[in-house]
Amino acid sequence: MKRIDPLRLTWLIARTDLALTFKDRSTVVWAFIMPFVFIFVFGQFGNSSGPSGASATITVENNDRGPLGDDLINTLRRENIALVDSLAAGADAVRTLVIPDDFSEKVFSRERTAVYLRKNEGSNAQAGETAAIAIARGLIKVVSALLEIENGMIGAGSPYLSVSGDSLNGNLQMVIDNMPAGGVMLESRIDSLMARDPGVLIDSELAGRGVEPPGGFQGSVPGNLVMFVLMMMAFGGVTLVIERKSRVLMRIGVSPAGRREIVAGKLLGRMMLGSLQILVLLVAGRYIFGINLGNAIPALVVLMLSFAFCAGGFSILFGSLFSNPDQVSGFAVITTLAMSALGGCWWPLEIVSEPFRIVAFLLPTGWAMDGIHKLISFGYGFSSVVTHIVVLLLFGLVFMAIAAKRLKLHD
Amino acid sequence: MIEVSEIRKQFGEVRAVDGLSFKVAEGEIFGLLGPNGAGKTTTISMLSGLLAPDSGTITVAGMDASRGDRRVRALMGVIPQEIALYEELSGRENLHFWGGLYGLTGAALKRETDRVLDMVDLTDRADDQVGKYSGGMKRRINLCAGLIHSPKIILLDEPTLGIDPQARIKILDIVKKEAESGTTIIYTTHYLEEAEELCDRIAIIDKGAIHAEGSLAELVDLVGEEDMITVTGDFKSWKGDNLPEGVRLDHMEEGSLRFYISRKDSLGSLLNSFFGAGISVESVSIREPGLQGVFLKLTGRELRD
Amino acid sequence: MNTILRIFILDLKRRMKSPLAIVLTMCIPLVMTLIIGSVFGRDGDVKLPRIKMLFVDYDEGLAAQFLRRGLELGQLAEMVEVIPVVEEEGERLMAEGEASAMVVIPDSFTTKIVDGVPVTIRVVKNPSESFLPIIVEEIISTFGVILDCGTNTFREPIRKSKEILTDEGWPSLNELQTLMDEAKAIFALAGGYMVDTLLTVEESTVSEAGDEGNGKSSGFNVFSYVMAGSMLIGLLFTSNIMLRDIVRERASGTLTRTLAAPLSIWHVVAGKLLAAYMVTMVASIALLIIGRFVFGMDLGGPVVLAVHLSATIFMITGLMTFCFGLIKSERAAEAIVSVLIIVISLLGGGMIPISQMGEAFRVIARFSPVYWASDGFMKIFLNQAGLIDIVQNIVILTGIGLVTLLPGTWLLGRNLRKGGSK
Repeated sequence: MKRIDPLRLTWLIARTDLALTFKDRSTVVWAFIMPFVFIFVFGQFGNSSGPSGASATITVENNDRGPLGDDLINTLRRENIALVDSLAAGADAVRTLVIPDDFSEKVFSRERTAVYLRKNEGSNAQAGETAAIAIARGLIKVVSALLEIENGMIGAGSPYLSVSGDSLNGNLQMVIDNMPAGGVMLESRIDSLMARDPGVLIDSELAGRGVEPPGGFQGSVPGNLVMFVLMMMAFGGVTLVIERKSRVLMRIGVSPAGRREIVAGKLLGRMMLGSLQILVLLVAGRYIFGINLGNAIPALVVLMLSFAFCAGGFSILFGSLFSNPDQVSGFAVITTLAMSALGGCWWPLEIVSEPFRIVAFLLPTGWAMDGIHKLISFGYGFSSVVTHIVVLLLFGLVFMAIAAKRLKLHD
Repeated sequence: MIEVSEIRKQFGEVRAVDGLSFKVAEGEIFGLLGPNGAGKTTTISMLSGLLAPDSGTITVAGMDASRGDRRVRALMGVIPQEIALYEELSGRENLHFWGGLYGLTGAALKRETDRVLDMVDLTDRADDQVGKYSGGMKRRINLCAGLIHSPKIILLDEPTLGIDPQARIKILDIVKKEAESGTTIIYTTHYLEEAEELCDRIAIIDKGAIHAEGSLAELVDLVGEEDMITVTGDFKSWKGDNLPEGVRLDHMEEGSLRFYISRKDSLGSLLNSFFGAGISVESVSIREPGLQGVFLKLTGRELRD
Repeated sequence: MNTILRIFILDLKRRMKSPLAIVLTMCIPLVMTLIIGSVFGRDGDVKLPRIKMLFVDYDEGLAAQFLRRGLELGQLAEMVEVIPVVEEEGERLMAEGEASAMVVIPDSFTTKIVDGVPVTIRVVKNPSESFLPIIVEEIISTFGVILDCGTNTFREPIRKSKEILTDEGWPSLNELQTLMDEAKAIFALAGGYMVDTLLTVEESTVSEAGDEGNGKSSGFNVFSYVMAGSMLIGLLFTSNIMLRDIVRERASGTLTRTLAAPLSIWHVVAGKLLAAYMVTMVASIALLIIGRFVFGMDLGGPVVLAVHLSATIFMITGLMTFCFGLIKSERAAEAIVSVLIIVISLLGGGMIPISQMGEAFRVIARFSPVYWASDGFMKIFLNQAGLIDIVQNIVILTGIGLVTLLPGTWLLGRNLRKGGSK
């Protein structure tokens, strides 16, 4: 009797599974085209702050009759804030800085006043905070310059400004009002003080060996890669259900290929699709979206293959849990969305509270994303993701074990 | 070649197979004849190793087949009643896959694919998607997928279900030829004619148990030479006594009586006795001895029920 | 009319017998809303976790102390957790991604500031995080500015103090008095800003309808914000499932049997479209009820909501009819319609709020019908918009509905008459 090699049977089942996948146009669209659309659109997410390079965009409505409004705007400009004139922005202003018409007058007169930052509901919160902090810093600089001038005048015995006890007599507005060239002199003095180089400098650098923090495509490529691999795998469960309903699975089960070969073959078939997806999206990420893939591409490949294994197990699990294709696709969408969102594919985990960070590490998506960050963001090598790889493989094994136990070859 | 001894299978409260035993010799076509739900498919599933019997033994070519041994499965070709094929793949691609599962590769796989395609006259359509085939074509390619590896044993589960007469003839022809070449065949059906035409031996199965087993002639002998007569009408005033000679009442229900008659001329006497008693007869049907009669006699119901 | 009603009721009954697909579809927006709402909180303000900042101090002088103590005061203390470390330990923790940033105060930091010599604070950021390290950077920059400005303001007294301290012998009382007077004057000057808060930045959030509130507008509910967009995905897929039935029935032959009865093809199409409209409407009402009672959403005025909902579902039914008028098989439906739904939802704000996107995307969004629907819902849910406020949305949605429904119905009817491909 001719001996039939189980590995060859596994390979045959896997190969056929992959061929069947490619016969379905919708699979090709969902596996290889939709991720690009998502990467592109999600890569733009958060760009309401303005053109790249600037950390926030502020539309400025400067009504100030005096010089301080302009001084404040100039400091903001030096802060790498993109400023747009309110007339040019029109109704599309995301956040607006309104400087009142009597701003300088009130500041010079030491009367209470404020500048107003109006943010549109739903606008990027981080950019809004950056803008607010930058404005506050600008005001500190303006005030500091004024204090120096005022102090100089007191020292020089100006008749319009003096200190008696703890109280202050007079103010800068009186200087402007009573001295013929007071305004002009004051303006040039403020300008020269504000033009000084800062005494305290900040030198920022990134830890690890990475060069770019996630954001834009650097953030959207890994997130969508993980989400779409998982989605395709979960949807793959549909084919298993259809094959069971059409008795193809049963027929394979009565051939020399038994249950073990079916599970292994289907897993391998799914993994091949997942690997292909990973390859295409990583190459596209590097050469089309220009992202940095870190310094350890082989480690990244192994990490992603482990994720493909885990997601493949997930696929078989879905196929074994449900008996109706509509059930599989419905639950596949919901589970994929939930796992992607909670695992950090949609937003960085750094901004979620501690319980949600813990939840992320209960999911394979969380481990995959964290591993990717280690390799891509930190630029670390293989050793940094060994735990991630092991955990993903364990997830896959657990999924497979449950699937193999529950998988019915016929209804 | 195949020996089944006292196998039982229960699903929940339902006893699908209840102490089934039979033997099939090499090169024999053995028919399992029974209505839907009789336990035929469960028996095939156990023979093919898909289901393990709750008790009893199945021996195939001297090997225990009840645990789904890979060597046993390699000997068999199973043709399920469903079109268990990949509809997205072409006929040829399907055969390459199914042949591959039985260890065929390279030139042998190609040769065997061409052979079975030719056998079912589908060479011209071999590269079309199976999804685009007609029902009969699908049945034929379904058959090919189970024959491509020239199995020693073929298990056919209602292979002609719902197809046109031409395709049925083609399939029956193929089965006969396979048997002629020495292949052992177990054939389940609920079509009497198929069982009568094909099978060397037939087992009548109902409610999970075999009620009789033997060649067609042996089974017919079980009901003897009697014809079965069914008469419908209004029998309220009929007392049931004074039956003509050679007439035996088998079953009685409101508006219908069933008799067995050993002599053809007894029918006239029977009808005359009704007319004489003023009973209005609506219809009379006569059935000569055959598997239908055997089935009815053994199970008390028609095969189509 | 009776025939249309019969087909309509039959379709509804069939759907009620197997509601799973639609129920699962409706779960998509619910799950999305639930997750986003839970992660970001009901009022939509991201509750950032406490930022771990490693603090390496080589200076141990006054300026470094000022910075360190400043970080441990008030709101900053809630925002930032300062962890003093030595640099090697800090480098190791940063390499492991255990903190968001490490701040290194150089040796002689205080002396250099006092001397007016430029000095640099090193900030090492966690590369896997995009927001928190920037916050640290901003905070340190602000402290830098405060230190810089403070030194500039007090430069004269500082200079004089240094002279006094470096001179041999004790300072005269006169010298000390002058120094005290100068410092007092500066404190008097600065006090206005520090104590009386003469100058402030007042922040406010403006809703798109122009209402202004302190912080988030009172009606803001992140669930409403997410649901306004995500429910569109659910409704588009619900309508898709209903109309996909036509393709399925055509393939299974039940449609052929229906058409063999003495009725016009238009009866069939009208009955099916009516059923699709009704089921989508019921799905949307179910979503809104869940939104109201589970997520505490404010659904706005009932009249404006009813009108906008009707227009939205009219648009959805029209769009789906048009798609299925062009499509002949279920496989094509799966490949094309699902993709179309996701793309128009993605571009129209069904998944990501349009306000978070760049300018170009905000323009493109207007070409997606989903935009006009979700924008309307957002205005109703968040700004309590009236009919007048969303009249443009309603007109556009009805227009899209008409433009797609009429040719779509004709195409669908023609398709059914031809029998389509099986």
